[in-house]
Amino acid sequence: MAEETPLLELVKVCKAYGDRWALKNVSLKLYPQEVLGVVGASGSGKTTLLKILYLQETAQGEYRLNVPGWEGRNLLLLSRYEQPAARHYLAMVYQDAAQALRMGFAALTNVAEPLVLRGERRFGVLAAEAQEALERADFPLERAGDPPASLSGGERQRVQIAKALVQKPLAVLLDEPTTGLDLLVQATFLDTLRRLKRQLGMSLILVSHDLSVVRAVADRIVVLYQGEVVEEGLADQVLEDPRHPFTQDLVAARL
Amino acid sequence: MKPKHSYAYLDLEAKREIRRKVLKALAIPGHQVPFASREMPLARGWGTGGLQLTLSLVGPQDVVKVIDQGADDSVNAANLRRFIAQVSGARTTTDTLEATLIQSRHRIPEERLQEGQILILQVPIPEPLRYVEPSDARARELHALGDYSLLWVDLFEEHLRHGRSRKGAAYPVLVHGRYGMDPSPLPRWDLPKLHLAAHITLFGAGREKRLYAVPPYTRVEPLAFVDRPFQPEPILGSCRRSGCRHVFLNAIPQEDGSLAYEISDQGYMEKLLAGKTSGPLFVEKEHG
Repeated sequence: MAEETPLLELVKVCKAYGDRWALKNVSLKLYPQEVLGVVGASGSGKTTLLKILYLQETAQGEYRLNVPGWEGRNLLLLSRYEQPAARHYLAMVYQDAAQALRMGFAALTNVAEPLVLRGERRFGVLAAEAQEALERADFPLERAGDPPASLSGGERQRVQIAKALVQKPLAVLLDEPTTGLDLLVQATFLDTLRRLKRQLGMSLILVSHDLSVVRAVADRIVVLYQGEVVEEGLADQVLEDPRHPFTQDLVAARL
Repeated sequence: MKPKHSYAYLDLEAKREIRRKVLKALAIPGHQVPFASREMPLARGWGTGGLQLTLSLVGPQDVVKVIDQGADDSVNAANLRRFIAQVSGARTTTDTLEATLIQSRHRIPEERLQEGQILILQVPIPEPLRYVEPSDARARELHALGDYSLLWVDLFEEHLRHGRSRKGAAYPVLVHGRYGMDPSPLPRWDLPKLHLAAHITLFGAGREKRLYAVPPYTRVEPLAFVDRPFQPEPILGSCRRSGCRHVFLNAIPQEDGSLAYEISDQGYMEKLLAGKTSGPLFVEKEHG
């Protein structure tokens, strides 16, 4: 795996809010068809990291995507008018669906939206592709016409996944996607993620404070502590044999 | 005795400001130009934008027609017409073909307008993105980027829910392939009349202090999916006075709960009833 070129790479990214460091020298790589788990307590810089990855936040350092046309370009130097083009390669799934979805529009419309943004102007194609993505995300199709406002938490997350799938992104970023869902719904949602990874070879970055969620899906784990990467390695390795005291606490603190 | 106001009510500076902004609007078809909207002797929302445009363009040799929902004799239209005639000395008419300036709310006359004629529309909400993007600052940015995908998303939702667009007014159009424009409260029926039209169309929103324009022979295309073409309103009845069913009809509720229909463009109906020949229509007769 080491000789493969990463899809996405952060090199020594730093971010400060005022005189407080949110991220210090964070480097990470995402390889094709891999799930990278990012673990950390509240305030460890997880959200900032995701915002930087999704180009919603400026930072110092380097950020590269291995896509034709973008080789060697540092995405952190893009102007806000170039950012949307780079963002096309990424999709974000939020903890709170209201951040990503139009709660009053039909689920199907929400899923079709990224295609509309890319210039698809055939109603039939839009509807068919959106429906296919919803089906892939195990969303109950009979509710495709309902707005997310009237859907359950788990269904909303599936709409978000479908919205990400329809873009055929290079990588999907997931920000605490199962937090706030009950255990059963969490389990089925994680099943869907695992299946998508297996069937479509998707690459995911999964950010969570919940070790059991990360353990269930991630291949590799990065541990963030006070804005720094303190541990990195294969999921089992990190969880079975944690080196850093913070990771040890985290693993020991599992219920 | 010294007159109480300058010619055509607005002072010179105000008229110059509006004319300059009209020129700018004509140079950038469909683009909303902010202008210094004045206090007028009628309430905002009653056509102050249209009235300011008319007054800054009118001269004593002009012939003015004012319509409201197609009718020359509705209260608002009659008041505006009387006011314009009083302050400018221009002649007034109900004949579309004779008029040089037509101020309107809701309708474009059925008879085809010619080069040299100016149609002025009173606009309540000039921003086509208002319903999909609540922030005006963001909406202006989207106009600058030419990004109207939010309007398409909205259109998708309508087709998904109802199988068609149900917008009776303010159906968004793309002008000259560049700017998204709110065509005021025009019904869908009137939108094709704007496309490659010979006349000038000006839109004035007094309360929102914006004006915009469609110069002659400019492309005006209603947004529509390739496989779901744009459709004007169907004609559901025939005119109770003339029997016509080839132009836009008003539905008039009857005491027994049924609907009667009447031609909306009153000037055109008068011509038909008087047996006069009308000019060529925008929408040629399809149904007898």
